[in-house]
Amino acid sequence: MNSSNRARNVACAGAFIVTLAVPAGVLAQTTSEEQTTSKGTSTHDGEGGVFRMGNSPSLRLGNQVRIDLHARVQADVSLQEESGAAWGNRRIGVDGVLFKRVEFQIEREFSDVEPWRDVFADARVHRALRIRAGHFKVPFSMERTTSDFDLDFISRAAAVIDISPRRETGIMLHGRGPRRFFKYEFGVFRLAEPPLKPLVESGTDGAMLTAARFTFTPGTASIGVAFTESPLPEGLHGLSGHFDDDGLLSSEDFYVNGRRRRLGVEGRWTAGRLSIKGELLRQADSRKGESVSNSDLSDLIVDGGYLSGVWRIVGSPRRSRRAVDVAARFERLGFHSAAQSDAPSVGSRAEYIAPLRQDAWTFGGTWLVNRWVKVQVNAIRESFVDETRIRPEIPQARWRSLMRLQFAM
Amino acid sequence: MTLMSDLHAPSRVIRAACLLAFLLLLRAGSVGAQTASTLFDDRVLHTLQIAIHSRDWDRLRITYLENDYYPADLTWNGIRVTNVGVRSRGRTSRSGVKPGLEIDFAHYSTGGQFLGLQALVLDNMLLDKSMIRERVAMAFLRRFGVPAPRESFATLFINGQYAGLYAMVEEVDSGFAQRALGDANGALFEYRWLRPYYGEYLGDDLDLYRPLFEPRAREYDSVFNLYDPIRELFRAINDTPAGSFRDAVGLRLDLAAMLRLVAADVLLAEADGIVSFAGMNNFYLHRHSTTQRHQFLPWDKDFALFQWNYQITDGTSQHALIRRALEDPELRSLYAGFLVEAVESATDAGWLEQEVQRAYEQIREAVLADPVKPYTNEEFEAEVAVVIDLARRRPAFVLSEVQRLFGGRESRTLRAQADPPRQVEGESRGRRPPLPQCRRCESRTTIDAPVQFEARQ
Repeated sequence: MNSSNRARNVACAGAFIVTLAVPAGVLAQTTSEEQTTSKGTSTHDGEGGVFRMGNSPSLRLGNQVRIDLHARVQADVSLQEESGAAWGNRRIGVDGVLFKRVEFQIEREFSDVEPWRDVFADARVHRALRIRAGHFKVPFSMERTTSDFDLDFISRAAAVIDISPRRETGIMLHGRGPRRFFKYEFGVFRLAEPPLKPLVESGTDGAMLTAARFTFTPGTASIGVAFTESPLPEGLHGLSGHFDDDGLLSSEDFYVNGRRRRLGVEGRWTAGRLSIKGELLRQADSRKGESVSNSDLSDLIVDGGYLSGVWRIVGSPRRSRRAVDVAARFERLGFHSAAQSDAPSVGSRAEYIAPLRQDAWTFGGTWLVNRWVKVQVNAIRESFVDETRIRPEIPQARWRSLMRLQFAM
Repeated sequence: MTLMSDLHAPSRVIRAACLLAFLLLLRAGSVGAQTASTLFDDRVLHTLQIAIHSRDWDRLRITYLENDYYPADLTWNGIRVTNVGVRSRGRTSRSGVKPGLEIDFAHYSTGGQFLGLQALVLDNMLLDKSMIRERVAMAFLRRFGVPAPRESFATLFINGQYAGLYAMVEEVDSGFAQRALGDANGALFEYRWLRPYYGEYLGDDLDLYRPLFEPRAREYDSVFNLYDPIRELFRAINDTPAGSFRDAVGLRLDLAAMLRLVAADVLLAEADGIVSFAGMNNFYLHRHSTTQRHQFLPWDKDFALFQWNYQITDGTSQHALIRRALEDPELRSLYAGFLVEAVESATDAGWLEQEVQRAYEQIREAVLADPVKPYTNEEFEAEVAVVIDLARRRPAFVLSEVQRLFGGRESRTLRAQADPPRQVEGESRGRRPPLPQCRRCESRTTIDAPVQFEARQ
């Protein structure tokens, strides 16, 4: 690593923070003062229409319509590489409420890959029954259903990324119990495209994914359980999304066929400035007719989870516009077969798939500069464990560090 | 009586248990005694079973020009090896109907092996209608003291269905180098035929040698370490003055081993070997880890035993290495001696003819039943007749040519000084009869027109 380039990256990042932070802070103050003096009537559009410039531009038509405009930009900087900042998650969107009963959200990302993010309407029949329809996150995993802009760390845990389903188009019933003691979500989704490398062109066309999630919140703790089930077309599944930085598993894919079942358990506990949360996730892919003799193989299991803790050292323990947090997380992601007899192998039709796992420690800090700007720094130590030692080369444990700058309006 | 029976009952149980244990031990012993030598025992027509997912087998045959591996289980002699990697192999012999196969025991598991082998080649023998040339030629090379891969025939069953007759060929890798040369740590290269190359010096740029010599061991060595010795070898072959050729090249190449191999190829009428009709072909190049001397290792003998009167000097005038070596009087004499020795080895107790006959009888039924061979049974029988005829006539033809070209002389002195061929465990060499006359050889002087080959695509 060239130290001068690293210094240049850090300097550029610092300049970016200052550039965003100072005017934003001034704007924040001004807006705050305006709101104090004029009670939020900065712009009037007649006929009961009001345009407000609060945290974000907002249009209100009486009590019946509220439309808020959002824009979000974030940049990631690797502190090891010389490639500079990588701009990602440049999104713009609107959300609001129509007639006090229908919430909606439309969000688009400036990207060629899955540009439409959340596009849905959510109608409230009763506090305990709401109906959401459109394209949105499948209710599975606490961290997966948390916005990118509200995460404690720069990246979600590897198990969350790899095991959780992505956004799909579907319909979901959800609601809350009295005093928010419990919350449920139950939905059916149409799988847009195969979740893996398919062998059959028809893939999952028309296949449905069923998902359910129940969360209980006794006091300051919260525990939940979620599952999904969906058909799985014959194809190859691997974990290359996480393991191929070193080319380690680029060829390690396994034939699957049948059903895919996910199970997740989550928990969160908050006490003053301390917040602890964790999840255990497991995905089982059946392998019907996939042995070398066309018989069934035991399930391919991908499992993992994380445990993280966040300590707020500056700012209010609850929602705060300016705050500093420090956090640590341990996470694990691995795969293996349900059966562990026979000789271990990385063959794509092995009955006993040689287990491999990735462990990672992340230490980080989050600085909420103001209501619009957030800066995160993470140091990550990753290691790989091959207990059977049948793989030719396992990368050494390594450190890497990242910085993320976010601007959200 | 009843009491006695009761008393004897436990002893009967013990005896039965002992018998059972003995039988189990016997079976375990028989399985444990299996070695690579048993696998390559060419006195036996072996049976190989491969279990491979039907979709994978279809795909392998459709994409037979690719080198993609597919998982499979291999069974031989009651021993089942799971999770081996299978891929299509070969160059001109690739086929989607009867694919040549490579079985890699370590592809899905580092250190995986079967009977000490990391890989096994299943030759589809597509270019040889007799299907015996490769196996007999390799047997002769080993008999003649040339380090050559072991081979045996096997009937192959894919998912229980007969998939034809194959030759099981020992892979030339570091394990082979250890067994045959006593050096597992040397560099090993497979020669890639890209154009007619006759061993000329290509220049200083190492990249000119890289496409021709593909590393098969020590692949992660630097380009300089891998290819500088090869460049210097060919520089010495081409640029060294005649007077110091033997010493200068001999430092970098085992000249005696090279001449022995060429002499064997001549006896075998090998038209596609180191001295082929279109440059060098079908060999591996091994560089010893301590002496840094290179040695040629033979590969792929589908074109051996092709025509009984194939000229023994064909290709030698163009070939820089052979031409210059034969300009050296002592090497020339050594070479002549090896030629005579090859004739003797082939005719000793009628070995070559008997070996061809034995191989034919061993595989005949399997070939006739082979549902995917690309030629008719009549063509097979006719081609075998050609090989048998060659086995009868070739030694005499070679001997007469040696006498004509070399004056019947040989250098006993140099042959005595040359490195004796390495005696490989489990392989016996033919008894050497008195020199110089070959009693079984017919003396033929008639020379037919040399065989014409089509240009390689």
